[in-house]
Amino acid sequence: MTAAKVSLGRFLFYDRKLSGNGTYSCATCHRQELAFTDGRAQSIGSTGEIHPRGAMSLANAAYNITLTWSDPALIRLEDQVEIPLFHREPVEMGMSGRVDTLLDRLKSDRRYRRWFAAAFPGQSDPIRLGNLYRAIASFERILISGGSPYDRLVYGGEMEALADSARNGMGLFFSNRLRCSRCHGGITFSGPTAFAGNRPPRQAFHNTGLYNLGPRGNYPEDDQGLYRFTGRQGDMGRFRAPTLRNIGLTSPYMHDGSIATLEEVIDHYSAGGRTIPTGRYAGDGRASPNKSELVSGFYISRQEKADLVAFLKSLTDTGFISEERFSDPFETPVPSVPP
Amino acid sequence: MLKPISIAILFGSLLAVPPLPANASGGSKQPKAASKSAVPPTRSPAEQAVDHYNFGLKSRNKAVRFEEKARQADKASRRAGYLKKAQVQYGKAIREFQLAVRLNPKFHQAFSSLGYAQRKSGDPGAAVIAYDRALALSPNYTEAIEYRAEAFLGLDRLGEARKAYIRLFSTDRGRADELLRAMRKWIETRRGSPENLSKEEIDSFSGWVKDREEIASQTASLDGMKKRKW
Repeated sequence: MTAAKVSLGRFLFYDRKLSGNGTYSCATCHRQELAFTDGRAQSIGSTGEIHPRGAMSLANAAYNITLTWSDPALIRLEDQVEIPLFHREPVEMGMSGRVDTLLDRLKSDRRYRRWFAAAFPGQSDPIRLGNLYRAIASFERILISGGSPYDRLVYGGEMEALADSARNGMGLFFSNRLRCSRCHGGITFSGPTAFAGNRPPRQAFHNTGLYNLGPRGNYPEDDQGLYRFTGRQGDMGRFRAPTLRNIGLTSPYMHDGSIATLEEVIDHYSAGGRTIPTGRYAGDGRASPNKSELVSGFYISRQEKADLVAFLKSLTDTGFISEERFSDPFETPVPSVPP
Repeated sequence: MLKPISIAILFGSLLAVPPLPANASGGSKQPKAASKSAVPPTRSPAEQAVDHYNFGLKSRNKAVRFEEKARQADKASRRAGYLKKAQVQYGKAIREFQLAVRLNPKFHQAFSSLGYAQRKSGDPGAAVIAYDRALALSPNYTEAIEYRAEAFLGLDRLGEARKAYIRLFSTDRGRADELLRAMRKWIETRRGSPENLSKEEIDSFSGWVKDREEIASQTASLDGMKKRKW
């Protein structure tokens, strides 16, 4: 990580040159004002293809021990950058088979020639894919969200940072009755984290009883979570717990955006799974054989639900979504350039 | 509790230690150990500092054991006897730690331990100065942050103790919990003997401690995430 890499990565992240038809940048699906999500149930690629999942938030991505919703092998941000650029099923940025085009676009831009050379000094030909990945990953690593009212209370000692309702909700969130923090724990509210000096903990993926199709508790064929990578039936429908930081900004919810509001998400967990009475996905998620034992249901009153939602909304970091260092440099009146 | 420190651990930070002034330990060329365990005169100042530090720790640990015995003693006279013995040991520890920091002014652990012994000897003001020195040398040394906060409590400097707690909460939850226990104890003591503090001040601090206890218990799982098996 250097300032020059981060700054270059910021320009690349927001540059539409990185998509095949010049219409998409990384920021198209990772919008700062939505905590680097896209606000859609299922993302849409640069050529209009609909994805099975929504765009995950990039907040604190540097600390995630796995990236994306369910790929256990994707653990480095540098490796993840490759996926949206070159993925074909579905198409995201649409650069598959067009590496030379991508590099030519960058090389023909005088600014990138200068910025790549500054970020990767001593290299005779610094504009190359590996360096592009490194620069974008460097930028993503500075996307740290830790200034929410919750953080101001817990880590900043501002005892009035949370309203009473949110404080009650916080108690519920961490309680043994609701056990939300069992999966959405750690500083990221996303489960196990990796950081310097810490031996990486085990990866965690969960089946929350969202679907239960057929006798084996399947998920819809287009997205079966960890199962796609391992082929083990027990991994059917298992996904990583996404971060709850800024969750008030990142609706709709669940990996496929199939739940619209936080209240409905709480209802889902309170019931111990989702029952879909009719249609192609009809099934009782509560009875799924693959469901996590942590999703066993709980009683929650109306007031408690409101308190819990208030707490979840207290995880919104307004500084994060307005921080200039994370914003589109092409829209800044005087773009900051790498040294 | 601190463990005796290895010379090897400190080696890197001891290379630039200036020689001890001739009068640094009462005029003799080598510092005079206060304990019976004399430091061999042929050792370098850096090595001698570690030796004194370890002697100091021994005395300090003895003092802690006497305090424990005092807590368990059934008769007041026995309790007083043990506490007196503990104070003698703390006195010895202070002398050893003072020698250690004179021999190696960059020895942050020794400054911190000096502060501890001074605080236990009833001199929180001197302890704060020693902890300040330790933290100037090693700003993230959580032992010194925590024990300095306990010294702040001894001086009724509650705002500084609170700040220390918040700092420890995000860096060392174990130390933060220990400080919270000390705060609880301080409240009990001050309720019985408020000295210059008003009831409102004590109540306000007590409310703050209660709030932080609740937050600490609620968020205990944040720390447990590292160990959990999924």
